[in-house]
Amino acid sequence: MNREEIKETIQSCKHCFMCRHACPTFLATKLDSHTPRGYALLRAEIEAEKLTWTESVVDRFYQCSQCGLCREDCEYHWQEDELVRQAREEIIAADAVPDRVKKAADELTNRDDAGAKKLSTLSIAKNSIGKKNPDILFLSGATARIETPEVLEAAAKLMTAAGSDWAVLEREPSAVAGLFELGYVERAKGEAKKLVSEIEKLSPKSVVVGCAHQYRAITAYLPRLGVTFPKNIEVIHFTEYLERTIDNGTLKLKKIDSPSSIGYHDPCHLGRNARILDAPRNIIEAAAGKPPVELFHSREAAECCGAGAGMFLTDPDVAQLVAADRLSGAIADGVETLITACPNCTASFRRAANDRALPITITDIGAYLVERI
Amino acid sequence: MSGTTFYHEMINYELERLLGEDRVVTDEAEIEAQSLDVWWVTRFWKFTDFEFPKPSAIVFPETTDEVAAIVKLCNTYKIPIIPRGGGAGDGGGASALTGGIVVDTKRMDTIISINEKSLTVTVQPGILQKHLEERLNRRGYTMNHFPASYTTSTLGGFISTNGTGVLSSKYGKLSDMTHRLEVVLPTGQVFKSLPVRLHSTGPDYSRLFFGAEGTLGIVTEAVCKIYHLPEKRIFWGFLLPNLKDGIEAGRKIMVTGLDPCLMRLYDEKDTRHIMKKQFGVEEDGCVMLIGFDGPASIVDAQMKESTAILSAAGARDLGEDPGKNWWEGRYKSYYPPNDYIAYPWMTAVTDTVAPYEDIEAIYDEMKKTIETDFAEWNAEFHAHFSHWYDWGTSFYPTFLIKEFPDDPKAAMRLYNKIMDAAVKASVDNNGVVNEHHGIGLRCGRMMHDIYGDGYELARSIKRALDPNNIMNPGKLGLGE
Repeated sequence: MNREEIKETIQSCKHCFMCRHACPTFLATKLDSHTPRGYALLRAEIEAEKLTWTESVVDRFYQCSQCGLCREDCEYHWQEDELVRQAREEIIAADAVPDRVKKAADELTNRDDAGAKKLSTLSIAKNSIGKKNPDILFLSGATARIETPEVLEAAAKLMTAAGSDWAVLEREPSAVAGLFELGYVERAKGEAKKLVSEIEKLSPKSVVVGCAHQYRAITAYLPRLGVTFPKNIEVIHFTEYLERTIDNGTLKLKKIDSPSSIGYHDPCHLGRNARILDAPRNIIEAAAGKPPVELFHSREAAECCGAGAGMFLTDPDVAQLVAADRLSGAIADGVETLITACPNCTASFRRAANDRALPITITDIGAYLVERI
Repeated sequence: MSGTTFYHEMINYELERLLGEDRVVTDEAEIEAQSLDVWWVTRFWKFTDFEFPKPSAIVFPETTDEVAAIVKLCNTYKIPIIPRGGGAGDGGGASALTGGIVVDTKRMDTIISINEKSLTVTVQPGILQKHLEERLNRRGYTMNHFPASYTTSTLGGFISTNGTGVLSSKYGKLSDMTHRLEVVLPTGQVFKSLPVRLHSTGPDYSRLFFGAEGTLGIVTEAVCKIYHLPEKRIFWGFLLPNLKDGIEAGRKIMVTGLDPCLMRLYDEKDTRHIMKKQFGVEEDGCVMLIGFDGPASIVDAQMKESTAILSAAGARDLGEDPGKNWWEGRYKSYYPPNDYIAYPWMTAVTDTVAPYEDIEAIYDEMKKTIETDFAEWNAEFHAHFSHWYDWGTSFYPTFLIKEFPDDPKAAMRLYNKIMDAAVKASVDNNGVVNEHHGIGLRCGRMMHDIYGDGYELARSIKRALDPNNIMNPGKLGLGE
C-alpha cells in the first residue's frame, strides 16, 4: 500500500461504520477503537497531527489479528487490515513499539529453536528429519511443534499411511507471517530468506503446509517481501493433500461414527485469505459420513480464533476474548467438537476453552483423521 | 463534566467499583474513536479547530441492575449521562455535549428468549440489528427491520430514535415492532411496561421512550415482534411519467388496502441517475420499486392488483431486475466511495412525513428553497419517497453542497440556514420532520418551532422524570 492508497483508505474508512459488525476484536471488546473505522479515524488524526502514537492508541493497533474479515465484509474491499499492519511499520519507525510487542517479536523467532528441540521428543520417524530430496516436505509451523504436537504427529502418520515419501525440517523458520503482520518487514524478510534456503537445501518435489500462517507467508507474503520461492516446488496446504490422497485412494479411512456434533472452523489464512474452503469439509465428510455443522459465520466470513498477527503473544487477554467469542458461537450452534486446520487456531481455542471451562472439544483435522486409518 | 481531575478520578473509581476496571474506559483512543457519528457537523468539526467536549469515562454495563447503579450514582452527583448504542446517528445524539459519562450498551447484547407461539423475541438493547436478524433467521424468523445502519446500529438505538427500515410500509417503525420495554429512569428506578401493548389500562407509557434518544432513560430490555421468514418476497420496477402521478399511484395502492412491504418512488433527479446506472439510458420520469412478501398466492394477487393501478397511472413495467438488484445491493450505496460520507461535502437528509394532500407541496417548496436560495453554493437536492401509509407518505430529501465556505463558522452558519429553510418548508405546509436518523442536536434546536407551545409538555415530562437533568442533556431541544 503506497502513500496515496493509505490516504485513500483512511479517507474512505474513517467515517464508515458499515463493517463494524464483522470485526472479531470489536465483537469481543465492543470498543469503537477496535473497529476498522476507529483505526482509520485514529490514523487520520495522527496524519492531521491532532494525535500522536500515545500508549492507548498504539495498544489498539496491536489488538487487530489481521484476520481480514473487515476487508472481506466491505462491499468495496478496502484494505483496512493492511492499513493497520502498515501503521505498525510507522509505530516502529516512530520508536513507539511497546515492550510486550518487542518481546513477542523476539519470541516468534525464538520459538523456532524451541520447536527444533521439541521435534526430537515427538513421535515421528527420526529419519524424516532433514531428509534430502523427499517427495513432500511438511511444514508444520512452530506452534504445532511446541503447543499442539499431536498435529505434527498425526500428519506424520497420515502421510506414512498414504505411502508418501516425506520429510520435515529440523529447524523450521516460521516467524515470517507473525513478524510481517507485526510490521517488522526487514526481520520478516530475513526469516523468509532463511525459510526458502532451508527448503532449497532439502530440494523437495512439493511442500505441504500444515500451518495456515506458514501457508500465508509462502503464498502471499514472500512475494511482497521480494523473496522468491522456487518455482519448481509445488506448495499446497495439508487439507488439499489429504483431499487428494483420499480421492485417489492412497489414504484409506475407516468410517467411525462421531458421537458428538462436529463443526468446522475456517482458519482466516486458509479460508478467507486462500479460499481453501471445501477441502477441509470434504475430508471431514469422508471421515464422519456427514458434513460438519456450518457455524453461524463460516467459510470466507468466519471470525478469527484470536491467534493472528501474534496476538496470542502480544495481547493474550484480547486473543482469548476473541477465541471465547468464536467458541461461544459454535456452542450456540450445537457444536460439541470443533475441528480446525491450523495449529494456531487449535492452540488459541484450547487456551480459551480450558481457561473458561467451555463445553467444547477442539480437534485438529489431522488428529481427527488419524483415528480413522 | 465540570470539575477537577480529582473529582473525575473519584467518580471513575466509583464506577470501577460497580463494574470492574475493565469496563470503565477512560483512554484517549476510545474517547477519540467515539467522538463523532455520521452527522456532517461532528465529522466536519473533528478536523477543524472546533472541538466537542469529551466524556470523562465510557462505561460498559451488562445488566439492568448495573445500568440502574450507574444512573443512581450519576444522579447523586448530577453527572450527565450519554446513553450510547452504535453511535451512528445523524444528529449528534450520542455526543457528550457537556461532558459526563457515556453508558455504552453494546455489551448488553443477549437474546434472552424467543417465543415461538406469540412470535416475540426478548432481547437486550445493545445487540447489533444484523446479529439479531441473523440469529432469528437461523431459527426461521425475521424482525423485518432493515434500515441503512442495519449492520452497525443497535436495537436500543433504533428504539431511541424510533427507527424505520426499508420494509416499513408493511412492518412499521420500532414503536410498531415493539411489545414491551424495560427502561432505567433518570433516578435509577426500573420501569417495565405492561406485558401487552394494546391495552386500555391507562396510557401505554412505553411510548414515551420511542424517539426520546435517551433523554428520559436508558432502554435495558425489549420484547419485539418477529415473523416467520416469508414464503415469497418479490420486488419489481416501474417507470412513472412524473412525480405527481407516482405519488397518486402510490396513494391508490395504499388506500386500496394493498400491503406492499416496499414502495420507493424516486424523484426525477434520482431517476435519471438510476436509469443511467441500471439501464444505460437517459430517460425522464420517476422510478418506483414495489415489493410484496408473504404467502405466494397473496403476494401474486397483490402484485397483480398493484400492477393494474400503476399501469392505469401510465407506468412502464421495468421488470424484476431493478427491484431485485436494489434489494440485493441495498447496503452497497452506504459504503465508500458511494456514500456522501466518504467526502468532505456538506450534506444532510431532512426527512418529512405528511398527509397525501400536502406532501407534494412540501417537496416542491423544499426543492425550490434549497436550489434557489442556496444557488450561489450550487446546492443540489434530490429525494425519494419510501415509507407509505394509507393516509400519507414520507420522503427523504437530501441536500448536497460540495464547496462551502472555508471559514468553519461561516460553513456552520450556511449549514444551519439550509436546515432551517428545509424544516420551514415542511412545517409551513403541514409536514412533520421525520428524523429517525436522530434529532439530537441537529434538529433539537428546532423542536420548539416544530411543536409550538405544545413542547411544554415534553419539557414538563423531562423535568418530572429527570429533575437533575442528567440524561442526555441538551438533546431534542431539552436544555432544561
